[in-house]
Amino acid sequence: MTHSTTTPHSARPDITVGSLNRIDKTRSRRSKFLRRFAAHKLAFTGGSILVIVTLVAIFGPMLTPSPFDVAGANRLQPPSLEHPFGTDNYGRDVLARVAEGARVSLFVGAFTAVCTAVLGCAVGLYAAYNRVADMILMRISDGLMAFPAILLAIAIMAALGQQTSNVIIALTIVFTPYVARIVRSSALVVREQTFVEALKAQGASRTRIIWINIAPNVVSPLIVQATFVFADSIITEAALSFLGAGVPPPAPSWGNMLLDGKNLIYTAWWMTVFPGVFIMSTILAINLLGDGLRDLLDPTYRSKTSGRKRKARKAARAAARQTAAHQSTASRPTTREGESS
Amino acid sequence: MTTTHAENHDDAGSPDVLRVRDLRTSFATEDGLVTAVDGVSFHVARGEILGIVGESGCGKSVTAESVMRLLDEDTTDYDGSVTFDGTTELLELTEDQMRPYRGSRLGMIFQDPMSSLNPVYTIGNQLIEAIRTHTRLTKQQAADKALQMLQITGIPEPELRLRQYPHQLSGGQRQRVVIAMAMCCEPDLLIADEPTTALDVTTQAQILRLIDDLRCNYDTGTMFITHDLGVVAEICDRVIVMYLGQVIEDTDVHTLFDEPAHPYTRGLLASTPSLETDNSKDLPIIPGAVPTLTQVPDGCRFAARCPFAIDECTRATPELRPHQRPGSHTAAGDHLVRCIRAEEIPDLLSTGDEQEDTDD
Amino acid sequence: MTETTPASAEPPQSTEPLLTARGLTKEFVSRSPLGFRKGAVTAVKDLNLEIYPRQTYALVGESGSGKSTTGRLLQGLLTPTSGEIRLAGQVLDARSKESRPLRRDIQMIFQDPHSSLNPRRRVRHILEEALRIVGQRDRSIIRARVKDSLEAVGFSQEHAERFPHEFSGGQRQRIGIARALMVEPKVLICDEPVSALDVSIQAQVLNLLRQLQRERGLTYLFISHDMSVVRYLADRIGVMYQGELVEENTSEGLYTAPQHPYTQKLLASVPIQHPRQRQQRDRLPENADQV
Repeated sequence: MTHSTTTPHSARPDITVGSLNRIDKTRSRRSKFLRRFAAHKLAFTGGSILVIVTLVAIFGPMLTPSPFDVAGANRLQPPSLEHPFGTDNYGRDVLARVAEGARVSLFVGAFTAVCTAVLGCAVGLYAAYNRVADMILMRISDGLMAFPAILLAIAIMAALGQQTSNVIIALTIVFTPYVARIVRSSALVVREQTFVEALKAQGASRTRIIWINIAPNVVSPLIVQATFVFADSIITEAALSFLGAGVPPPAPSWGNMLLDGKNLIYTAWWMTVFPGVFIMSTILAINLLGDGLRDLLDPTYRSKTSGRKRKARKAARAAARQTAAHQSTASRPTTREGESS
Repeated sequence: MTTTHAENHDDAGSPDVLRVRDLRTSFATEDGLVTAVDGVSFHVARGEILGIVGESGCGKSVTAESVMRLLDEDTTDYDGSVTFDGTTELLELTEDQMRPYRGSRLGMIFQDPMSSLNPVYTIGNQLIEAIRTHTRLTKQQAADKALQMLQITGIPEPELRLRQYPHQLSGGQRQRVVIAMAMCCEPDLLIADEPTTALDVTTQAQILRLIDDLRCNYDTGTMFITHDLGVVAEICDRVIVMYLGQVIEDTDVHTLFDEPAHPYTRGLLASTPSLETDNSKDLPIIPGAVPTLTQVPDGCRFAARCPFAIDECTRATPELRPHQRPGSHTAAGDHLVRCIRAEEIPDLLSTGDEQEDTDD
Repeated sequence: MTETTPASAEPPQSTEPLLTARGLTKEFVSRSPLGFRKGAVTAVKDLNLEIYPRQTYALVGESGSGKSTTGRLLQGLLTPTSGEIRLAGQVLDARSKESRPLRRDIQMIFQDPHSSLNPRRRVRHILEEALRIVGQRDRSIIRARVKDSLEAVGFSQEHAERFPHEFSGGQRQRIGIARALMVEPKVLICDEPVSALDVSIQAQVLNLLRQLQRERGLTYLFISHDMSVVRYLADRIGVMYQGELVEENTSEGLYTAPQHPYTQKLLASVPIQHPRQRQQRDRLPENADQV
């Protein structure tokens, strides 16, 4: 069947007009995400602070004296050129200990976040797809979530013994239920989509449906949640160390540095202020980053245009409307009574 | 009378309940400014049903939402004029001034009757609430009015329905409740956005008849938005066909079906199967798909899919102009079309068919 | 493929039916949290069907009439409460492993083109998966089949590298069809395949389905609520009402002489084709939607 081009008939549906230049779009998707990230001020600020802290953790210990060098003569020196953050009651350099503490804190936080994400994802997905497993796993996680996080972590540390690796294990047990819940609820939504039914109709196995097809769809909420776990586990680790149940001394962590400085807070403020500032800014940075990622990964969230342009247009419109309102005060809504008479 | 707009003088005393002139609605998105409605003009007279037809992405719903000013004002720009009842410029009202219009003089029916009712309140509560928002009736009077409205919509056992929750009603019954709610303040203009799309065929026929009856009884002007040409044939008096944010054809319903002028309208009519369609042949199709608003082509927006397109079509955007064919029974100026070749197409079609015959 | 005349012209009795259902019944039982039976809804009641090869059998009815459930039962997505389904004479049992290869011959096309493709996977992977599921490991066979399926629905291979969101609704529906074609099925169950599409795209997909039937000798079970589409496409039509098949006839016969009152009402409700038909239209009885 041949058709002349002047008839509206065509044997086969054509490819959409303009769909061909969409291929470039896919390629630039990553750079587009980076651009959007840079445009999201809060996320960008958080990300930058986190990068700085990470750089301090990586390079700080190389540039500072050993954080373990005890020097009796240098005890409790206030901040100076030689010791920018001062020295502690053993004469150790506080800057060096803060930098070394950053290593410990970030390592514990990041490792916990990764472990929690993997475990939480597995538990959440499995629960979403198996009714019996769902009952059991979700009741266990309810039980775990019923304890205050810090109390549960202390109990686990007491059982396992005071070791950095055990801190990670304890924090993973504490935070996995939160991640699992998020993953489960996202997976329940994805499971109802038609493509899952289509896979069943093709005869796909449960493993294939869950791990190859549903899993990639829960990655966005998982990343966001893992970011928050990152922040939470740094804070909880600091709290554990402050209570003496976390990273064992003499290894510095921001938490046990606070503990060391607690009794000397009036004589040597620098021993508590510097690690405190680092904890605060790191947590703030990670939370900003997490909020930003949640916005950026949410398909329904779209930063419209830059705020300034938008405000300018809005102001112009408001002004125009105001003049219009002045001119048309006579044309107020006519009341129904007035109309019927 | 204000003198803000020159047209207002002409409109004084005109029966048009709504006059939209050169409406332009644009959104700021990441990909830049997107103009979803681009220079749309139309008018709705009292007691008239104006059909707005088009496919998804043609801007028909945005047009309705612009009239009601329902879009997020932070990201939306309106331009042009929307004159209600000959005097009021809706686009220039503040949000507070706009509110008394919505739900009282401007009624709206949405596509999904379930999500336009609140699931936690009874039908009666919601109707009474809607009535009392805009009138000074007492609770008892409002309840009587609610019952009366339900009776008008032909819902069975209206007293029972008042005490029921939305989920206890069928889809058709819910849509009747939504219509009762839209009509309870006797609006001058009713905007129906795909009101029957979510319903079964049998229910659709009844809801259409209800809307038709209401416009007769209340003399309401109706904007009826749909993608279904069968529905247009059933109920509309005049029709505007939209494509990618623009009106491409504007005429009365008989002319639209008898002598569609724009190639897109022709294509739509031809590609919709009917009970009489010859099923030994393939359906005539419109090739391709509607481009996205971020990729609006230059010149005629339909040219890339149009079998009659020539070079000139892509050079400049065609105007919406009066269409006149010899022997046509419509008065000049009543049939508008946005196509430079509209008059030639019938001749092209007949010769095209001959060519095709000789090809085979 | 010279035979292009609609199959309704030839008597269907000339061949054996390809897909049959006998006494098909499906009850959905709702249970309390402790597993006690709370109530049951019969979605499909004692349904008998015969679908002949290379024909299009359409099931029509309103939402809740059980037509989609019937489609899912025939495909094996749902297990019938009772009744028997046979494909080319062999019994299909949704639960047994032996009928798995048989089920492969029945593929499905879904209504919603937006959620029926996994948004996180490329078209190539979506298509390849259909073959991997059935144990095909040979890369060259898989690649050839992807090319063939894509071309059958009017795409080229470069489209395989894209994600579903880069396509419009009609294009996605065609990818859904390509996915169903990957395993070279005999029967396609089309569940409202065009009702979510724009008018101008509907015709493209309908033509494509007809063309595939001609070229590949496919048999369709076409589930729809749109009487005009069904009239255009189907050879035989079954009308479902409240879980039962109330009338079945050839497309021609059903439209010219509808027997069951529900069929008559359904046909009377079809929107008219031209405003001048408004006067002749049979008006429906008051409050007829109370069912």
